[in-house]
Amino acid sequence: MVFQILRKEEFWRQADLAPHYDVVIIGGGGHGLSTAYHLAKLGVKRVAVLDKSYLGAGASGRNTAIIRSNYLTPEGIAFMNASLKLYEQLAAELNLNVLFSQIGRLDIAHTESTHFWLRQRVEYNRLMGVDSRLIEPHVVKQLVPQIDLREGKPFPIVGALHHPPAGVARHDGVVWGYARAADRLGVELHRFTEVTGITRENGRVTGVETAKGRVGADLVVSATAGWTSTIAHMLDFDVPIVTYPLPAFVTEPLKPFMHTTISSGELHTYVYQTERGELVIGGGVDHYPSYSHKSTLQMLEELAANAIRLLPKIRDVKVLRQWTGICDITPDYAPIIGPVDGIDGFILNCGWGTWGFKAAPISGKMTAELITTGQTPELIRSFDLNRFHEGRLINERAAAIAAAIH
Amino acid sequence: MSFLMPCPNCGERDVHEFRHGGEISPLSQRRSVNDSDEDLTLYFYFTRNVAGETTEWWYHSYGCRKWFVVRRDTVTNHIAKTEWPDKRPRQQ
Repeated sequence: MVFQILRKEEFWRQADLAPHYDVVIIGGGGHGLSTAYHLAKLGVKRVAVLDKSYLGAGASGRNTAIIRSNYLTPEGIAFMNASLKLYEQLAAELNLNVLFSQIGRLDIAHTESTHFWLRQRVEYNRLMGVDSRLIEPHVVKQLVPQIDLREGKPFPIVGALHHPPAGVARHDGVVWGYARAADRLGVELHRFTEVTGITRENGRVTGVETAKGRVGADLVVSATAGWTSTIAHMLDFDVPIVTYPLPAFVTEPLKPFMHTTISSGELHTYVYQTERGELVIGGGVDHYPSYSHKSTLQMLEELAANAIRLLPKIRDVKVLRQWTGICDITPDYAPIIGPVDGIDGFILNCGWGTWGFKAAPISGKMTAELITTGQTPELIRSFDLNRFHEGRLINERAAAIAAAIH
Repeated sequence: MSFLMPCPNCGERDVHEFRHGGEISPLSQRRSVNDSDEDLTLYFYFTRNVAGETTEWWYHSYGCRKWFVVRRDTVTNHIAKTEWPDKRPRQQ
């Protein structure tokens, strides 16, 4: 009995690479694993996920784990709200506690123009059935008593958008949960298997080349977020993506005092307290594109200074650790999901920028539906790559309020 | 990652004195209104976004306020060289 309790549960099995799969997914993060899980659930037999590092080594393990659907455009709101609904059931679906906790979200306005913009978002949200409301500064004070409401200070608080269904989840848990659930359905997970090339015959993708040998595939999915351009270059095309590093940090644990997430677009900063008591502080991307995972003192200083503007009482709190992930930012802050013209047997799933974690469940589900039915589901119809050629940009400015570039 | 940028005019300075001005690639070549919609789309939205050595514009916004061309590795942020556009120093 004791030995059974102590027995290490295998989260996923290890297998040797087979010569051929029905679907090969490049990238073992939230989106890749969610796609694999939903493909297996829909009955696709031979699916493999390849990652050049451990599972969740990229943005899936480096984001700040906020989940919300108070977006700006009808496309963005519908998509993210469907994802939030999946998150509400995710622990039961994956049989793993992903610590999803709906602590709500405050988007703070410091100027009349931002306040107007938040009102616009509230109206769009309510039309789409998403719970958002504008609240006065004294209500903000009730939700976050430590917030600095002094008048006449720089960046005064003139109001906020309150979005109660928003929450946070354990991002590693989401990765492990999807990986284990996919494994139980027969998906093969190959870690430390870097894809070095993609093979093509007569304009059709036939498989991938890896450090461990060639693998054939009827279909290849790229779910590589920040590294998407490097995969696109293997197939001689370009994507409308620039890769920016996004830093974040956590402080030492404090007694629980803040029970919501707060974000300021004008200060490029957001703050929330985890269940362990640490303050997670994130915000703007670095000021230049890079694939580097190294953090800078400059960004730490900027984020810390801006967080103190919101919550002056945290000024003496010590920083525990800082980290950086890389983000595939699109010109219209909306994702790209779908096939690429002229390349058969290839599906692109990218453009997740600083807003990808919250979308992983629905992104995987929709990508799997697209693959199995051959039809683009209504929910992701406007997220195709051709929108840039046809002038149908989405302008989802509420996706990256804090992280919007410059 | 923070690093030092050798400005052709001012010498090595902290990278945060500078502004990144976009990559220089076939996609970023100057276009005219007579170009096709397809070419203009590529110019406006698409980038090479190379992981490795790339050529780009930088601007010394908190220094001499001059634009120059940089050869940078986007993975390591190592600067191979910086130079004036067309290798000619700009005159005042």
